[in-house]
Amino acid sequence: MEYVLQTNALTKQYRHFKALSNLTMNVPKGSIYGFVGKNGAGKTTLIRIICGLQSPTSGSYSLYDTDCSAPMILKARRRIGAVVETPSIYLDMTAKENLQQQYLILGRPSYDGIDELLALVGLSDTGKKKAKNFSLGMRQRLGIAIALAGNPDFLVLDEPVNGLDPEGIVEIRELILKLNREHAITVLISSHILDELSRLATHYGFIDSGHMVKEISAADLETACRKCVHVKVSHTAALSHVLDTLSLEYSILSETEADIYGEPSVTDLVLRLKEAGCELFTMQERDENLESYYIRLIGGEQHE
Amino acid sequence: MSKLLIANLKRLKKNKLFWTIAVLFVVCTFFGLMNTYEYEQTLIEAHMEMEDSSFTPTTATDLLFQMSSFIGLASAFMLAIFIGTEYHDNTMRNKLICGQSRVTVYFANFFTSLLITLTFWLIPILVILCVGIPLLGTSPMTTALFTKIIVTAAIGFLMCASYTALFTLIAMLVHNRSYSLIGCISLALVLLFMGSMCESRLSEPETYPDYESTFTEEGLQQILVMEDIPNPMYLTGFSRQVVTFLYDFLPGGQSFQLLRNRFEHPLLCLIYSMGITGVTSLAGIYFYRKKDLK
Repeated sequence: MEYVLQTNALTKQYRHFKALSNLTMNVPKGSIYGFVGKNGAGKTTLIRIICGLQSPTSGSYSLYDTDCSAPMILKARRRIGAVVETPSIYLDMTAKENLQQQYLILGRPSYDGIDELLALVGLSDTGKKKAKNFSLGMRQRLGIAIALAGNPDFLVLDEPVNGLDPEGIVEIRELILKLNREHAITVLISSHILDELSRLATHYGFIDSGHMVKEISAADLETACRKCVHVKVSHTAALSHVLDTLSLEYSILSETEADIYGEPSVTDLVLRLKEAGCELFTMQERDENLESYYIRLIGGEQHE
Repeated sequence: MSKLLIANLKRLKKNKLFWTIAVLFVVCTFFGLMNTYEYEQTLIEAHMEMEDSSFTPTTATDLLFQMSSFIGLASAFMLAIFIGTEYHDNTMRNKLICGQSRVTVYFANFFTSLLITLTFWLIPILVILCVGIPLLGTSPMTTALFTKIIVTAAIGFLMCASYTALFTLIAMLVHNRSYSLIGCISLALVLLFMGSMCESRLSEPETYPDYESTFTEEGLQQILVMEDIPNPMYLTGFSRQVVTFLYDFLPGGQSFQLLRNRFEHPLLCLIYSMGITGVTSLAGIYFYRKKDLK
């Protein structure tokens, strides 16, 4: 698999506080990578490091296979667009002037494409209104437009839907999906809003206290979060035999516990287990989503 | 770097504060000239009445660098706001994220800042050339005077560079625009104060005449001039060397020398300004490269 970003034992220490601790992550090309973690977990620190705003204390990262210590990293970084925390916009300029500034910084020969960018983020009608008079959502969208000014292959968005109204959240979501699907832009999104993230992400990275707890693809996560019936029986060998005859998918967790996927007929299952001489103690339906998976994962991590 | 310079210049063109300060310099210089003109007319009339032919009136040439002492404050205010806005609005990171090196960003801001400071310095000179010459005339242009003007201009130019380097260092390293503003203005005031102090101490006379007053029998006061006595405020030896060094070294001291249009050590002033600019810029780049940006 081709990766846009790879980090290797990345560590960032601020005096007595370790924000990142041997963090290793891999962002596959073409993915929408959901970066999940609570406040202070190290999400923004990682984003600042890959954007060149801060240097790692130890460890390394590579962007498009260019190591962070190589001089060519500056060239690799030209393929990035990012919105880090708050949007980086001149408040006393209009949306168009802000984009013109970014075009000049990028050295683009003309202002062609600015109107299209404004239309893409829904800011075509802002006219002479200064950015300081924009709503939070408008600023966020202008920040994304600036990040897109250099036609990036890799878009890094730190909490892009923070403070947005429901309509704004939907607009940003659709924009991200459009950029990923139509323009093949790889996106790294950090977010607290797990429900929103679950509608976008193709891959996830769960970070806690500066280190990566788990990286998982959305497909694998869906499998891990499948609806199932958790059963406790006297012995799972008999249960296994019964479930095979019923052609049901299952996973044996221990000698007495198992997860049965799908929706088995309870009466049928109980009767067959009785015939096989297996006693059914408890039955519990489980329906896990990203949120419960995250809480189980981080909670489990903390209790290890 | 040209990309960043062009972007900075475009932003400067739209900056209201820059144009406001520029207009203030024009207005202040103009009114300063008008005041000087009126005062000179009064002096000329008074000397004509006394039939004093030795009086030489002030000309535009004498006033050419009069406003240099205000450059530090104006530059401090403008640069702290102009560069500080990049931190305040977080736009500094747009430059780094799109692959510009920190050295390039620092130098682009330094050169833009230098242009700002030089503009503020040149505006009064242009006003004096345009308005002052018709009003006050010029001194006869001799080779010595021409050389003096060129050397003074060079000192003024490099003083602007040293002021710029100092304020750029503060504005680039202090993340908070308000703190940066306080830092720059405080430094400008300290430099001016030190310049003023140095000038005051160095201009003390070595001796002063001692006076004694007596009253005559008619009750009239009679002042008798005794012999000159040494001035305790007059600096000698090492302390005079230190104060002379500071007067030549500090941009604040140089700005007072520009105001007086009189330099004791012009070459040293040039060298010191180049030194301050170079060392400050190198230190600024070193710390800016190490700085963690948010």
